Amino acid sequence: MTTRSQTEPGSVVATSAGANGAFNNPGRAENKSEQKRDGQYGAIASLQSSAEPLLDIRNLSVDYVTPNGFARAVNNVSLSIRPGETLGLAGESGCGKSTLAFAVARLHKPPALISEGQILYQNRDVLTMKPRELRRFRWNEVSLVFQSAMNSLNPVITIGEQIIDVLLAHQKIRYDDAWSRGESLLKTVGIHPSRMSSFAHQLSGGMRQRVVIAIALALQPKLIIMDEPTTALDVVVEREIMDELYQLKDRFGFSILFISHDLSLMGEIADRIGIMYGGKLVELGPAREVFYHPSHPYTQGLINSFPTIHGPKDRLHGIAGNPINLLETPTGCYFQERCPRAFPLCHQREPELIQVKPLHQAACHELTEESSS
Amino acid sequence: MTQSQEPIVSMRGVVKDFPVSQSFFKPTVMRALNDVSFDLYPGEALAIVGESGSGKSTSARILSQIYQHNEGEVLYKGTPIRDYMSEHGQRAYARKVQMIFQDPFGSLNPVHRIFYQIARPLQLHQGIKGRKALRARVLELLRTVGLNPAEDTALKFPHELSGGQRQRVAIARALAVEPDVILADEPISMLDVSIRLGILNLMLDLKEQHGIAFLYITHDIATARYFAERTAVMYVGHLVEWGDSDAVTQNPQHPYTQLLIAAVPEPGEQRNRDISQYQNKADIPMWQPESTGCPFAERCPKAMAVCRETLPPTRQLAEQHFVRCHLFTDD
Repeated sequence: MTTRSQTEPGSVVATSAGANGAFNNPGRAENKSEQKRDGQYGAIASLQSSAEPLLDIRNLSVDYVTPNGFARAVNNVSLSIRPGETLGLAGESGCGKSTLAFAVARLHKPPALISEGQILYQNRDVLTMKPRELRRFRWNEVSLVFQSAMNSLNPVITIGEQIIDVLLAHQKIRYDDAWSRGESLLKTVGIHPSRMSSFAHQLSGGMRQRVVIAIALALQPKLIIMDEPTTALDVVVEREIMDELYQLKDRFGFSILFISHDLSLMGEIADRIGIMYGGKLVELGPAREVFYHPSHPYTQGLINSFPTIHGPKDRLHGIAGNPINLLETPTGCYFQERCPRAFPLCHQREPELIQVKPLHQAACHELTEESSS
Repeated sequence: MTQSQEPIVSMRGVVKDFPVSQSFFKPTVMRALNDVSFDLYPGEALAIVGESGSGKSTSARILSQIYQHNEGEVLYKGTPIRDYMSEHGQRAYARKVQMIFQDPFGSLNPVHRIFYQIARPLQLHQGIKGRKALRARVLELLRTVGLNPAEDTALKFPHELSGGQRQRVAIARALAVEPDVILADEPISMLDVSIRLGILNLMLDLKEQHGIAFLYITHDIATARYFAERTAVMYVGHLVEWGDSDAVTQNPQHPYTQLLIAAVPEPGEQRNRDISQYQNKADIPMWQPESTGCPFAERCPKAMAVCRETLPPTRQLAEQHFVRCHLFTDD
C-alpha cells in the first residue's frame, strides 16, 4: 500500500470514513453501511475526546522479585484512556504489556509488586481501594478477556453457569432471571441460547472466545481489557469476532485496552497505539500516525517485521538481535543494542518521551538531536 | 522457477483417514486429506495455507512418513516412497526429507547440550567419525544458521536459549544431514514478532544458497507470499486453489481464498471491514468418506446445486494458477 493520507491529529477517527476509500483495494466492493457506521462512531469519539479520561495511569512501575534481583516489567509508564476509545498496546513478549493489564485490574500477585505510581479510574485510585470497593470495581467497571479462552473457561461446568455466576455474584438477581439474561448475552455475541447448557469442550475456539466476551460484557463495564483476544484463532474467525466486538462497542460505548503483538490488526482497530519495549512506553500516538510515521526505531523495526498481503514484495529486515533481559538493563536507552542508528548519547542517558507532533510522543535521542540542530 | 526439472517429492491423489470413534457398530472416520496432489521442485518453496484442521500439517506428516497415507501415491524423485524405503531403508529417506516443527521448546532434547543434538544426525546419517571432524562440522552448521559465537552455543543446553535461537538449532539439525527437502510446519508461529522475520530470512538464504526445497506450512498467508514462490490453499482436507503466490494472493479466484484474503488484517483499511459478503453462516464441516460435493459449499455465497453433489474438478486458469471450483467448470 503506497497511498498515505496525512490525517489531522486528534480527529483520526472522525476522518477515517473519508479516508476509507483511498485505502480500498481494487476489486473489493465498498460497503456503504460500513462507512456510515464509521462516520457515526467517529462523531461520538471526537465528542468524547475532550472528556475526562476514564482511566489514567500515572508513572506506573511494576517489579517482579526474582532470586537474581528485581526485574522491572513495567517502567514508569503513564497512559490514559478516554471514554469510548480503543487504545492498543503492542510489543514483543516480555515487554510488560500483559503485566500492565493485570495491574490495572489489580490482579497481579507476588512475585509481582507495584513499586510506584497511581492507577486512577474516574479519579479513584485503584491501588488504594479497600477489598469491598475493589470487588465492586472489578467486572462492574473493568472486565478482562484473555488470550486462551480454553483456559479461562471452567471445563467441568456449563458455560451458562459461568455466565450467570458473574451476575449472581455482583447483582441482586433471581437465578431464573440471571439465566434468561445469560441467554440474551449469548445471543448478543452471536451464539444460539441453547448453548447455555454446553460445556467448553463442545464449542469451537471462536465460540469459546465469544462466550468469554459475553461474560466480559455481562455487567456492562466501561472498560474491557483484552489481552491477545484473537491470537490463537484463525484469521477468518478473528475477523468475525472483531466485527462483532465493534458492533457491540457502538451499542454499549465501552473503552477497550487492546493488547496484542499483531500490529497489523491493531493499526486497523485502535484509535491510538502505544508501543512498549523493555517495560517502557517508547511511543504513543494516533494509530495512523504511529503506523505511517513511526518515530522510534523500535516501532519502525516492528512495523517492518510484518510481510504485507498486498504491498511490495521486498526483502524485509525487521529487528536484529534479541529482546532485552530485564535483569541486566544497560544505562541509557534500552534499545541501544538492537538500534541501527545508536550514537554515543544513547549509551549514556535514558531518552524521555517527547512530543513529536500534537498527541504523538516518542522516546528517542534522535528526535531531540534533530530538533536542537 | 525451475519447473522444467523433475519434482523432488510429489503427492498424487493422497487420501488420509483418521478414526474418530472406533465403536463396533458405528465406526466413524474423518477424512483429513482427500485427493491431494502437488509437486515440490528442487530449490523452491511451496506454502500450504489453511485454517487449523484443514489438513496442512497432515500433508507434511505424510511426506515425512510420520503418518502412512491410505490411498494415492507419494513419490520421491518419481519412485513411490514405500518402494524407496523398502529398497534403501527408512533412514535413507529421512536423510533426504527433514522436518522442522512448530514448537522449538518441545523439539529439542532438554537433557543434552546443543553439540549433541546436532552431532547425533551427523554420526547416524553422515557417518562422520572422530571428535575433531564432528566438532568442525557442528560449529560450521551453527554458524550457517547465525548462532554466533558457535563455540559458546554448542555447549549450552536448550533451556539456556531463546525461542528463536532454539528454532535456529532445529534448522541446523535438519541441515546436518544435507537434505533435499525441509518440511517446515509453522516454524515461526510460536516465536516473537521481531524474531520471526530473522527465521524466515534464514530459510530464504538456505533455499537460495543450498538449493533446498521447502514445504512451508502456515496459517499466515502474508508470510506465505513473502517466503514461497508458490502457494496452495487448503480447506477441510482439499486443495482449493494453488499456483504462483502472487496470482493466488493478488487475484484469488476460489470463494474460500477470497474470504481468507479479505479477513487478513491490514492497517490503513478501516475497521468494521465487513466480510459477511464473502461467506454464509455455516459450520466448518467434518469431511467423511461418504461426504459429497465441494467442502466449501455450505459457506459459499456463490454455491450452486452441483456444488453439493460432486467434488469440483481441477481447472487451470493460467500457466501457474489452478482452482477447484464449479464456477470454473465449463458447460
